[in-house]
Amino acid sequence: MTCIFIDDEKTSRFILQNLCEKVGNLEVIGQFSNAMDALKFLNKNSVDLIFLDIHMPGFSGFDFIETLNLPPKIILTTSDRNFAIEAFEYESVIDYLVKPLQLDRLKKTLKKIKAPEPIQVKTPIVESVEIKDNKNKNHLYINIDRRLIKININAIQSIKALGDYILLKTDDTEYKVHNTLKSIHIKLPDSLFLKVHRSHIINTSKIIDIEDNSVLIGKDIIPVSRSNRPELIRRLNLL
Amino acid sequence: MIEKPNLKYIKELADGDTSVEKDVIEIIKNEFKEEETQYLKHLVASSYKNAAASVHKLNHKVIIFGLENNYELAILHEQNLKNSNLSLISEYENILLKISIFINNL
Repeated sequence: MTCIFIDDEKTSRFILQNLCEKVGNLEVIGQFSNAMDALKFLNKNSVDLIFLDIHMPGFSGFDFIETLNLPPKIILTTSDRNFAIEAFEYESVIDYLVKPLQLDRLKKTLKKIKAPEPIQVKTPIVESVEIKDNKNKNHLYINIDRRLIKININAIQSIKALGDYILLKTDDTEYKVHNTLKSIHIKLPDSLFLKVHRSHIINTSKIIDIEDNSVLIGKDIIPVSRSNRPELIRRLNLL
Repeated sequence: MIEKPNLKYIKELADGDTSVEKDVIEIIKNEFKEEETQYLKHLVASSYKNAAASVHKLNHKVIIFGLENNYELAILHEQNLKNSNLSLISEYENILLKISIFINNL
């Protein structure tokens, strides 16, 4: 059975590697310190099982599960016992291991896995993209250090929520602004911008490449959650 | 009775393999220092949610070194920080200091 780990702590990855070697029938084919790198890997590879840490900066384990179309079996790993109830709301989650991980507990969990179902990744066919400019909204101003900076809306590539801030990326620069994703979203033309994840809005005209659960814009791979994917596909298939 | 850090978990993990024991201790030493530095940096910047995230990572080390009672306090400190409550800072620093001294002597 093939597996990967996703955990931002090196200590956890080392411990898991060690335990998997002892279990014997697990082949570790990848270790990732963040969910985005794992998504890139999963877009090109199949895996039977994912060990997934819930607490990761920027992109939690639950965010990660949301982006998977046909997720393989997932074992959540965390030192937080409070996520147990939420964890089992996901069909793909077969167990929840509390750190520090114990060999006996891991073996017990693995017995629950009977027939591994490899992940299948489909690449949607995108024929064309229609962008209708809202002429009343060609630019917006953002307030940074008491300066109002004019931003050409068409140059915005993506906007990411960062706690109380948003990270707004344009073709040539990026701005960290004290604002919410929701409030900036209503200022942007719907014809151009789409919320593809609870933490990400993208300019659909900037999409370079699409995988099943992510889009490439500039140099950034941006996750697309399952619930938002149909709207993204619908828009891209409009023409 | 004051809890002392121990290597029980690491010894069990290594299962007699001294190279595994050495490797995991080295990783923990490095990661602990990085996480502690981040934690203090976030505290200085009054970035308490980020400080809580650092505490979350550090807490894994607290439990790896068998500090069961301290772990409960550490979890509470993590929760407090999320609410900008700094009441357990000094107690938590004592835990970190205890671990620092322990790992520096390994």
